[in-house]
Amino acid sequence: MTTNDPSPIRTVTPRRADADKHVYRAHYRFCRWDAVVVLFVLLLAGGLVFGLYLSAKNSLSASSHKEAVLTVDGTEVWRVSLSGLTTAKEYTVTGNGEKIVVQAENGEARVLSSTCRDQICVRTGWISGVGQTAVCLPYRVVLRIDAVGNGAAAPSDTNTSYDVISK
Amino acid sequence: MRYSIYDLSRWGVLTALALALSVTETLFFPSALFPVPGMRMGLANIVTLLSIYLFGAVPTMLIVLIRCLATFAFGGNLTSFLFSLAGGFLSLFFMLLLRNRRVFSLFGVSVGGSAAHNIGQILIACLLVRSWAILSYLPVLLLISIVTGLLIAALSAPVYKAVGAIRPGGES
Repeated sequence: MTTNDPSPIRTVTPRRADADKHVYRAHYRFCRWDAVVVLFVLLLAGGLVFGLYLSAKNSLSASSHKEAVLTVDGTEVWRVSLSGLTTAKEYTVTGNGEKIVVQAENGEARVLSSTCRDQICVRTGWISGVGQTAVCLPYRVVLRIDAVGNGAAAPSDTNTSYDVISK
Repeated sequence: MRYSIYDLSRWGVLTALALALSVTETLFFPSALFPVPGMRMGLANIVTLLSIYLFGAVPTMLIVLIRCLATFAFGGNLTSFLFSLAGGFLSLFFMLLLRNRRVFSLFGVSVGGSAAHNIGQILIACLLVRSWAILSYLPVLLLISIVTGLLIAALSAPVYKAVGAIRPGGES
């Protein structure tokens, strides 16, 4: 029809005959396949929790004490052992008008104050479990609890993995 | 891709809606109650969800891109721009995959999209601070994303019913 038409000003073209094949109509009733999606996400979350739990347990069993590790942009700037601390220790990161203060006490650590806008790192509060983190995304600062001990390869492991990621 | 003024104006309306929703969300979300970074309702996902059915893949990509650029221009910072871009496109990708299987309803597509949104954001966060430590937030975010995904689908269904009746279906 269009090929035989000599008129150059035809603007309306007929829809392709197979157009319906590419049309998607939404169903809006919850069906069993939706339950499959929900189940899959649940399994993913569960698997992740299990994996993180296993890695935390492994590193703790091979170690004798916990350490608070502070990293900025992936590089470690401060490390302090959390066992046997009688007085609170503080460490301050400054630069570019940014200021973030970290505090470590016996068995736990926290971000005391930060000049960042969302304050999520401060609101996280005290962390004490191995693998727990307080993160300040705007300043790329991570406070983490590490398990360290006799012959455990945990700290050097994490350091090398940082190097791999940053390169 | 062939499109008419009619299509163009409909895309524009949905882009504006996406923008309004994401701005509303950042203004009014009580983030003090949830100390989990990146936790959002993802209201702008309503638009993505509707758009992949009404318009198809390419216009939706444009809508998501323009939404991210515009929120960036309205006083976001580069970090949040990267976050919304990564989350937006990963969730769009998974929503399209689920849509193309045709067996999932709005609910399944929405939950998949929400979960992908969070995964994208966490991956970007891991990249930014160069550590996998933040991965420990992901399980909580995934659980929340199931709830928000279902909520978003429940909100989108009546809108789709109303709008889809005018001219249902989208190509590609």
